[in-house]
Amino acid sequence: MNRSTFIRDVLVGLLMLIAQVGLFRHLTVFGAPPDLPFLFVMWVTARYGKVQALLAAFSMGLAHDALVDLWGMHAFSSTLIVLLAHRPITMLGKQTLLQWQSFLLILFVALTKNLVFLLLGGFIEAISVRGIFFEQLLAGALYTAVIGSFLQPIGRSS
Amino acid sequence: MSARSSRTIDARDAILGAFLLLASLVLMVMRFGGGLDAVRQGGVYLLSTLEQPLSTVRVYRQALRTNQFLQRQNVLLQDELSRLRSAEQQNQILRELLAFKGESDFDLIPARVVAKEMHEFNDFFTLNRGAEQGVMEGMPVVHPDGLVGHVTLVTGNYAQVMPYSHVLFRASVRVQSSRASGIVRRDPAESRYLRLEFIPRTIPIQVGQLIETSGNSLQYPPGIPVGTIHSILESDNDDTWLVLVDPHVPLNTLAEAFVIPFEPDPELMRLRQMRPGEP
Repeated sequence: MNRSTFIRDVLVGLLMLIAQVGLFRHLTVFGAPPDLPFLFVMWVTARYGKVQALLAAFSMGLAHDALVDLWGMHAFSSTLIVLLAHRPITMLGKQTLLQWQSFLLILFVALTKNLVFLLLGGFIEAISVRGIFFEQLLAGALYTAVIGSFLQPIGRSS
Repeated sequence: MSARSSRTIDARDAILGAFLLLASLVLMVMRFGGGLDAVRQGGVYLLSTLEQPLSTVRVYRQALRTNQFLQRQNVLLQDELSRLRSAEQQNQILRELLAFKGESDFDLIPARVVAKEMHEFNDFFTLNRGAEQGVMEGMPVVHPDGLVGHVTLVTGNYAQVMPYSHVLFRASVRVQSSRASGIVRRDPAESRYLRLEFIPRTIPIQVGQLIETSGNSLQYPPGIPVGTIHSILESDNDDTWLVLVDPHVPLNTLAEAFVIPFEPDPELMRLRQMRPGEP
């Protein structure tokens, strides 16, 4: 990764973050927003090594947490998913993967990340998930997967 | 060598991952401890700055939603207002009827008009009071504004009324101020007026004078207002006036009425029957 690529990636990450907190946080489906920062993390994971992916997951999650005052929750869940599911996520960078396969893969990973996030939030009582658990879990993951499967060809070509 | 290197890399990744997870957990635990307050304030400030441009859009969306809600409320309130106005009007009418009933010398029978047949050639309407409530054929029907007609047919709970607009209606009346008597009936030319006849030309009359029942016919008690003189017509008859009377009671909007339990004095009736030529 050279310097210009790094700067470009950081800018893309910031753009995703701004889009998430500024716009998509309000464009909800069944009350659940998509998770654009995590899509960026998956994109980084698919392109670079595990260290870069872990650092990206932590820093992106932390930045997201800082903006929505959920310190550590997105950072923890993103980092954990990248640590555990690094290999499946790297498949997103392969040209052989069809769009529906990408969709299913993103859906599965987003679903797992949402599950970790919601369980963690419920466990430490940082957020109230009573009554909206399944909406946030399923609708959020589906929404993320739909946007991810549209963005994935762009990310693969860049 | 390669396998060893791979294991080293895996261990490094695992250590890094564990460190990052631990850092996340520490942040989670510490966030309400006060140590992160300055950073949290920065985060809130940054978020507010990012959200500022979008707030206009949200305000606009909220305004649209509020507008829709207010429009719906407006329709509901208009509907409620309309019903309240109707209820107020009804209340006013019922109060007037109640006052009229209290003022009358008779024990009036209040009734509601349940059917109305207002044809040009055969006007009738039906009241929801009949023989069981004391209504009898021939009884006068009135409204606080004046005379309506009289009962022509009675069943157990209903009574049919011939109003003043019926072609066969006749009533003995008098000019209130002069006590000059005449007969009113529906005017054949203009059905919304009554025609007053048989008042001698020797008695002066003028437009606006009140016409009331005279009590001479044994059909109606005296003093029930019928209408006011609307105009005096040209007549071929040099002896009597031909007068148009504007009735007080608007039959088209009539919804309530009273039956006067009036029965003529039996002795007078007997006397009338004794007259030569009476059946």
